[in-house]
Amino acid sequence: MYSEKYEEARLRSLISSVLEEGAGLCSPQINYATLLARVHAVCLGFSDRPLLTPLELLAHAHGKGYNKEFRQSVLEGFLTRDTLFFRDKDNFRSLQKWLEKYASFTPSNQHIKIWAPACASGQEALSISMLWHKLQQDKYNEDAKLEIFASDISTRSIAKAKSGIYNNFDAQCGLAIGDLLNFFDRQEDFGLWRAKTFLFDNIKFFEHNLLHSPPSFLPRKLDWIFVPHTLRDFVENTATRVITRLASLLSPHGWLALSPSEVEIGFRAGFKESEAAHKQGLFARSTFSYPDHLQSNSLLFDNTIYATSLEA
Amino acid sequence: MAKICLVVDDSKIVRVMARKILEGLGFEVFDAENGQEALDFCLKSPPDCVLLDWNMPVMSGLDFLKKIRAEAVGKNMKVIFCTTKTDADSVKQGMAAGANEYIMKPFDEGVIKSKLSEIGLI
Repeated sequence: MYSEKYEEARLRSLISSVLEEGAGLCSPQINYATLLARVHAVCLGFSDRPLLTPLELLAHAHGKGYNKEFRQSVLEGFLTRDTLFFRDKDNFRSLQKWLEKYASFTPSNQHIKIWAPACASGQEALSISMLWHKLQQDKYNEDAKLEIFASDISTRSIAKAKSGIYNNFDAQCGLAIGDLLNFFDRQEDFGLWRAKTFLFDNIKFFEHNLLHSPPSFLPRKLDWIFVPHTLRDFVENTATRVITRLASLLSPHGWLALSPSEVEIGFRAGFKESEAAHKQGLFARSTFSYPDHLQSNSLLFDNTIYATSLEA
Repeated sequence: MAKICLVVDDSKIVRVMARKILEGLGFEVFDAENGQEALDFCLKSPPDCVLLDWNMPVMSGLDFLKKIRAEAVGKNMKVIFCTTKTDADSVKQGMAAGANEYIMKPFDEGVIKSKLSEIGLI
């Protein structure tokens, strides 16, 4: 006979194994009621009748536990989707400075390449695209070209990202009203906002699990990788493995953007400690020699020169 | 010293909800039920920020905004519309009248935080 605590332990164990095996993710730090609600939502998609008790949920989960489709649904149900436009504004400010200064010297036949490998429902990729279009409006370098690669493990999230449709809550989080009016169209009948088509012209969305090798079409010398608020959800060894792989995909002058709460992961993966990293979770790939007229990495930060380099 | 925010809305529920969110963010919060009350308050003791409904009795949010912008104390006051008028034309009209930001109801803490950050108050 199951006790409630036993049922909870079994459910947590099942969810943990699916998350870790499928995506290298840690167990979610959520209470039992939230856990049940999420499992219930997943199970409803596989059942023709409402599941009523934790025991039924558990039995159902076990019954479908080895089914690939069910496991993907569990993953989808427990992935973190909380994101917003221009999240971690300091990193976007740094990207803007980089684009304004370094990128202005990029030859016209060479594209600037940025990857957002855990883009959730697309806000990060669209934020980069908006930033780029604003710079282009200022005609800072009309020859420069930008390619944004944006991926996520979640089929549902990528579908939403491709649609570019957001409700009022999503559309207002992180986005200035001026940007909302400039870059989105209001769907008056539905109370939704749709990103304007031109924002997608330089974005390629695709499904990708960070535990796997990146697809062949992804360039190997990326200028920036934006992966904030993601590695903290991985089990420790996996986080280090993932960040090491990401670092290997950066060009010699590339930058890796984590979140301020993830700097420890960056240090563990071999990036040197820096004040900048402490402030915003931003790491340089190496001691790249910038042209003399650009003050090394300091161009990204105000007032202070930060030595950020990847240890050999 | 805590920044002061004036919440202007004829709905008590909205005033209470906004107060809880803003106090949680460290603001000292006052409220008013319409534009006229808000105008009187602002002329007497200008707040750092006004969270402003549009449709209200006595004086609308739009009329309040036009009047306060015409006053010396209101030139640089941060004003965020917070309204159910969510069509693009209304948003443009509100911004053209001098709002610093615009919140479309319903809202939550995330939206308020985002908008306050956008105008440099947090």
